[in-house]
Amino acid sequence: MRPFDRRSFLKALGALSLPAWFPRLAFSTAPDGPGSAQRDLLVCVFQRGAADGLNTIVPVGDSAYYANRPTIGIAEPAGGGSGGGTNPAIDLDGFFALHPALAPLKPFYDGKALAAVHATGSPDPTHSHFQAMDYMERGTPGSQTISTGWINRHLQAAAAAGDGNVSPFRAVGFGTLLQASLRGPVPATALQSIADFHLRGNAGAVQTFQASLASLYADTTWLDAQGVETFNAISALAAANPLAYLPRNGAQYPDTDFGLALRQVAQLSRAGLGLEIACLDVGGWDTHHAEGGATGQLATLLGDLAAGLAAFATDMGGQMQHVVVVTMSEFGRRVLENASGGTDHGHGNSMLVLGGGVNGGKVYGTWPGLAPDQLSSPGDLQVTTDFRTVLAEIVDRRLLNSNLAAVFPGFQAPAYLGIVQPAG
Amino acid sequence: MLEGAPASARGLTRRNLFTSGASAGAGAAAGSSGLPAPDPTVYLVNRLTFGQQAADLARAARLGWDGFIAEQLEPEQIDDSALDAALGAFPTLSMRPSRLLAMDKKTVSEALAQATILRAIYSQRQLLELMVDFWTNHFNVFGHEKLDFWLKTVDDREVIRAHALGNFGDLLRASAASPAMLSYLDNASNTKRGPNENYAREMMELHTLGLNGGQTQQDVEEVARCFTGWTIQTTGPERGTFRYNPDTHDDSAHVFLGQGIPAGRGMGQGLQVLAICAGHPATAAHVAGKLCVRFVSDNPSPALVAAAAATFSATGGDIRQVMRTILGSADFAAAADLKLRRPFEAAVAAVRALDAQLGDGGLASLAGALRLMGQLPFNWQPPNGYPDSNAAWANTNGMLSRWNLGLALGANALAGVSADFTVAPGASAAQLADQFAARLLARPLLAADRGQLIAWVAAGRPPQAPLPAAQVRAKLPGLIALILDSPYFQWR
Repeated sequence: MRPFDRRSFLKALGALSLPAWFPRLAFSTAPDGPGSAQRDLLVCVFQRGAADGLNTIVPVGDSAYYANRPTIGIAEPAGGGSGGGTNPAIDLDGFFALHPALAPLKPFYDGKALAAVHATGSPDPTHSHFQAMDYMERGTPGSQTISTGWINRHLQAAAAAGDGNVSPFRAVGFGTLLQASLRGPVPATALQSIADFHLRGNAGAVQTFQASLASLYADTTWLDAQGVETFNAISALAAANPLAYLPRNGAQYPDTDFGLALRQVAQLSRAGLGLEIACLDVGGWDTHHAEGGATGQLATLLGDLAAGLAAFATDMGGQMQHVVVVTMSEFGRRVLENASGGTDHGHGNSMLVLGGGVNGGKVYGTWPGLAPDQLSSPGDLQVTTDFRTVLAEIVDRRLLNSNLAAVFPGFQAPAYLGIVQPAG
Repeated sequence: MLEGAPASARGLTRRNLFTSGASAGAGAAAGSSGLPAPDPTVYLVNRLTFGQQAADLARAARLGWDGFIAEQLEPEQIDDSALDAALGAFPTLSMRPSRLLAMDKKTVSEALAQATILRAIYSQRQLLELMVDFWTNHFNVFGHEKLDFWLKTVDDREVIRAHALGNFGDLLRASAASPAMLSYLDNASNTKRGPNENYAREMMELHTLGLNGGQTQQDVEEVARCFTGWTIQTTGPERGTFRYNPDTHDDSAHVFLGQGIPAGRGMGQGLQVLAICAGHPATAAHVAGKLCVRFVSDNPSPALVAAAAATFSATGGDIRQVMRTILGSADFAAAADLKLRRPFEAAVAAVRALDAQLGDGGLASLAGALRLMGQLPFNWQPPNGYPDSNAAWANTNGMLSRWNLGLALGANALAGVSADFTVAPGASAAQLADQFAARLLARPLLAADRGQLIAWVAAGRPPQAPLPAAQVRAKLPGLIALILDSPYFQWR
């Protein structure tokens, strides 16, 4: 095994254009006095379908990578041994490199705001999308006895510790279905569109209508509670009136569902609605067929991911000091490509962590290697970092919740990787 | 009282509704609607259709509990010629693959989604349509990618509709050889040179054995090899049809779930795998369990699932017989207000209850509304199909989007969808509230809720006073919306 939690290369920063909010330069991170620490906004991005982490954070320094991926492998960065191919990967540390479609994120890596973790994932060996997603969103790999999501348990624990935030927009899931990580006793709002989040009709009449409708949801049953949550969210949003919103710092969100959702995260965050958690989904990662290499299906997905995250970080500007974005997917993909030009279900994967409090510019984890005897069955990247180790560090240090036993029951986090700084 | 209704249905009251919910294991999340129980006829019709209409209620009352179930389980005996005539507007439904593939993909996929909505609203074979919806999700194919913009139309016709109340093994075999499925789960490119596991894994986990059916990763790989060579004809007049390519099939011997699959059987290897899966007890339990979740509650009793699975096994996968077991059970009779209408069911039920007329663009309007509500047919990307649990759909976005649909329908503001809200002159607020609650819900209301509806219409006038026409015009859209948006309407 080759440890890679050290960078063998450092790119010259001068050659790259840094984001306007480049944190170490623009902001002091001197710790404030006790009690003044501010909890980060957590933006949790779930890549549904098992994203190919090996073609996201590419282990160009592992010769077995190219042997396993003769048609979909990403060329080494220029200057590497066999490098110089068209549209090569973008070097990170001499061993790992970014998929070229992630180029918009490179300045954040160089600016120390973006870190990656590799060979991470769930200790449970399932290759079922749905079981793996369940386990990851509940934060309880291998256990089906706990039905609440890990984020909801974090919200419960924070509330029990005296958190006074009862805003319906404390936790928001984007889409028509609420993410399983958000499900549980603490209300969370599912939202597609801020602009459309109101009862439609003539303004005056709709207000009276809402009052009458609310009276039909005034009992105490489960469905009444769903109704009440919805009325609360409608009212809170109307009071905040976040509609007039223009992204700042020249941020340009991609015109995709993901871009629109991230734009709305920024919008809600700016509206003073107490947003603490935002969950977003990006689908389409189940690339069994025609995955592509530097271009193609995966490249398009990664391009959307990168453009969205870069726009969001640019838009949030200095506020990124209090934001942490984490990406995850239920598992990675098989090391060896199949005959369809794609990859089957695998195990270990990569995650991205972006934010002002991130010890970025580094790929974290312990690289298990891609040689045949280094793989887990049936030919997958091993998991050397439990995804909960990454999340626990974020919950503890950036969300200021040390009750990890409540968030990840039964899990003893090993020493943190040091991906984030304690919130100042 | 409905003749022939089981004792448990006849005895439904609000009080023992709570009890039945608890005994069905509905858990804390749902099961106690707190509402007066619907009449058994209304309940039965709501559960076997996409939502009650006066004509259905009359027919069910005439046929009785068992008679209505029996009628709906024999759809081939039900005249559906009016619907068939209306479906003439969608010529793509009957086209062969090569002809479909020559057409614009948007035209083809929109026609299928709109025809599905049309059928759900107007078919007399309502239970068949529910079964089609069930299998559409069980054998999910995302209709908005790759070849499936076109080929889902063929899958819908020749796989799902052809076998929705038939034999499960036939359905499974048809699905395995369906070009739409071969494209969706990538088996079309599964060759001996480098097997593609996608179909093999999902066929076992989702279509047959379930997650815990005993299959291993080794079985996934073996099954994938058995299906190598099952692909799609890409050229000529048979373009878009199933093709078995012996040149890309791995015809060596395989082992699946401990059973030998002999070498040299060609396509017979995949067929043997399907036969093993279709006849496996894990499949019976998995499919029966899902049907119970669809037709009874999110947490059906183990006894009911076992009974349905036993029928499945004893009849060799006769879906109609499994449905007889489920619909004939006491659990089914006692499951009022245990399942929420999902967006598709809520929208179709509203149009049916309103008896709304669809004009130009009406189906497109409804499809647009369903897209916003998150349940446009054939638009679920992962292979597990749209979820069928209360918890999945009851969230702020889901509540708001169904409320807004009610507002749009009440105002006749959905383009191409119009309902007749003519009322007798001089009607009072109480009369109007009762009249529309009866038409749209056909179930008793709590006094307080009835009072709220009356108060909305009366707007300060006495409940029994005849209302001026202008006030009726002003208040009727909101009354319709309040009823459609109320908790009463959200239950199947």
